[in-house]
Amino acid sequence: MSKRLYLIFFLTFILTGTLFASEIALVSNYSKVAKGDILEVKLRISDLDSVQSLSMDLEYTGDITFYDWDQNTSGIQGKLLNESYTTTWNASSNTMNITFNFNQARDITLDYPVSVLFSVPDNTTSSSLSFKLKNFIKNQNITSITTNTLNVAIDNEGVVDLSSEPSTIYSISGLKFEISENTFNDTRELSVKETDLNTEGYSQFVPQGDSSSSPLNVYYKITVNGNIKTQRFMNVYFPFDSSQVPAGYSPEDIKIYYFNETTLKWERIGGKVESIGGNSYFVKASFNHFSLFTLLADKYEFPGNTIEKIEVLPNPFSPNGNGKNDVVSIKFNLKNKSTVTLGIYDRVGREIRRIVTDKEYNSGDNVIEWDGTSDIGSIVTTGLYLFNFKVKDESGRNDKKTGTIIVSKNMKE
Amino acid sequence: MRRNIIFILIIMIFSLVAHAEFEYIPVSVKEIAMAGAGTAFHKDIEGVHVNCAGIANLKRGQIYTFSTEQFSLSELKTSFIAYGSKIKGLGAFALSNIDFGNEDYSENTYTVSFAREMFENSMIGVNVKHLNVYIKNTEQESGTAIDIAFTGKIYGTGYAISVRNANAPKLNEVIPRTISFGLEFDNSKNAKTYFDINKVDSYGNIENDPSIRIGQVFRLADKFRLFGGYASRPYKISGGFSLEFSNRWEVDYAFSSMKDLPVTHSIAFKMNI
Repeated sequence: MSKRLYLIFFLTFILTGTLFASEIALVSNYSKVAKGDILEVKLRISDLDSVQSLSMDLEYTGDITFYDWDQNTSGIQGKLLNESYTTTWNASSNTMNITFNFNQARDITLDYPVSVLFSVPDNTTSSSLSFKLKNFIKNQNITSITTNTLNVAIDNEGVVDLSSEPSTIYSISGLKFEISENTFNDTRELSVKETDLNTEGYSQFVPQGDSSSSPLNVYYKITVNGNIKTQRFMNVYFPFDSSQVPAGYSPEDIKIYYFNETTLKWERIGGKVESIGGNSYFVKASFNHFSLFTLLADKYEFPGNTIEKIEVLPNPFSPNGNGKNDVVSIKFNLKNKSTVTLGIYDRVGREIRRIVTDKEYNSGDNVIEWDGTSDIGSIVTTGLYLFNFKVKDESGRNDKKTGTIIVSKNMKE
Repeated sequence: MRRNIIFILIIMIFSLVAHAEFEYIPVSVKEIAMAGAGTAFHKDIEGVHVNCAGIANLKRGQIYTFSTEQFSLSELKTSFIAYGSKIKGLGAFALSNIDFGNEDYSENTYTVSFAREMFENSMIGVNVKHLNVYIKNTEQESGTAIDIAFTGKIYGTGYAISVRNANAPKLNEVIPRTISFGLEFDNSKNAKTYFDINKVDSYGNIENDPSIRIGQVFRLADKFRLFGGYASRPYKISGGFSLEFSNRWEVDYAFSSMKDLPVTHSIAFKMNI
């Protein structure tokens, strides 16, 4: 047999092995987690063919404990494709066993169908965590399974080092931060402290509430060393549960407020409420400053202009595909829940991109992004562009606002 | 001449390619008042960036100043100042400057213009422009652009052809060439209609079909004229007036309204020396 034929056989063997190998990847939203926080480890299953029974151990190193919302540390039952799977924690061997048992063989290709929560102790001495799947016991139809090792760094309690990493989600003191690349120009430490107004010296500025609002009496001091404003907006998720919602209000009424150090007043940011299972919720908002934050339930309806406080970051932006400042964020504050139309225009008034048309947004701060493309999908040229908001709230009040966005593909970055 | 017109019309129809930097923003109040249908209208210093051949009609020196905030936005402030004069036996020349933008984005254009009569009722003009663009956090760029224009009368109808940035220089990117073809019709002693086709020769694959513009001028009194206009792409309606004082001063005002964007107000002063 010629050498060429051997080579073909060899390549075919490699290719066949690659095609039929199943993959279960370990994934986490967080590349760093602070002490005292919860870490979610997820399983992303690719091409797991004809699986009927499958058992594996999620082995971890580092000082953590299994956690679930119901405080049940013995294991949880879950649903996968309407059939059950079981997780069982074995603290002595630092493993979490995960077992699928299906009524019949089935193919699975799913992102994150299974996730396991771990709690990082406040007093842990570990500086990192490591997770790996092993000890696969599988039915004979599955030839092989490839997997990865997941590493997560641990930072100090309530503090995360924002080194120059790509877009990342951080969990700090129960708050979730979505921070894009280039949000900070340099390395910063972001810290979150659950606090009270007496500690902060603001005892005379307690939000009192009124006939349309009621405070939840939780306060978070979010700071970054240098006390700067970020180059991009961060998405910040504040947790609460239904027991904290004042009587007469629903979870959807919970809004984020921040303390304006200049005016010495609590100012409304707003926010969008998302359920995260059970009685637990996040209220999410986008901002680029650091301060003292609190939650209030409010049912305010504001008269007058419906859109204000428009901010554009970064401006200029550079949609040149180099991964830096490729997208511009347009933040706007709605007095009331409204439908929004946003168009991008060139300098002579041609509409080159309709970003949203009559889309409904909640009151408070909202963010819309533009990637620099026109309606036909091509990247626009360097120059000065306009954005134009048309807003109509539920009472029929109309408002319009126009501003400028600079595109510079040759920006120094 | 007819062959030249056909050739330029063919270029207008088939030209492609693209840009936003230095795309022409009108600096003549009367052009704005007619929604851009001013190519065949301008015959003095005011229109040196619309139809540079028009300055060949200058009988004496003129100074013109213009100011506007595009779409009522201070970030889009545009100012223009120009001086032009006739040089006996040679033609006419002009010097002008346009400033556009704000502290984060600004464009500056210095222009030297020359125009003369080629033969009876036919004039040619050239602008040589030095362009500077400053964008925050970006290297400053500069370049040279050339405008060419022809104007005159055929069978009693005024015409003008203007090609701006004919050499399409590259600054941060290639700047757009703009081609305009205009006609002037006398309706009566005190009313004229203007018709323009304007095409931006390239716009980064953005829709750049020609814009059709129609303008109307009424002379309501010896020294007072009313203007109105309509443009198709982008849709625009506009109006304005021009008021002369003695034979030396002139004040112009124009507004321009587009479908969704705020109204643009412009004002200009002209002095005959």
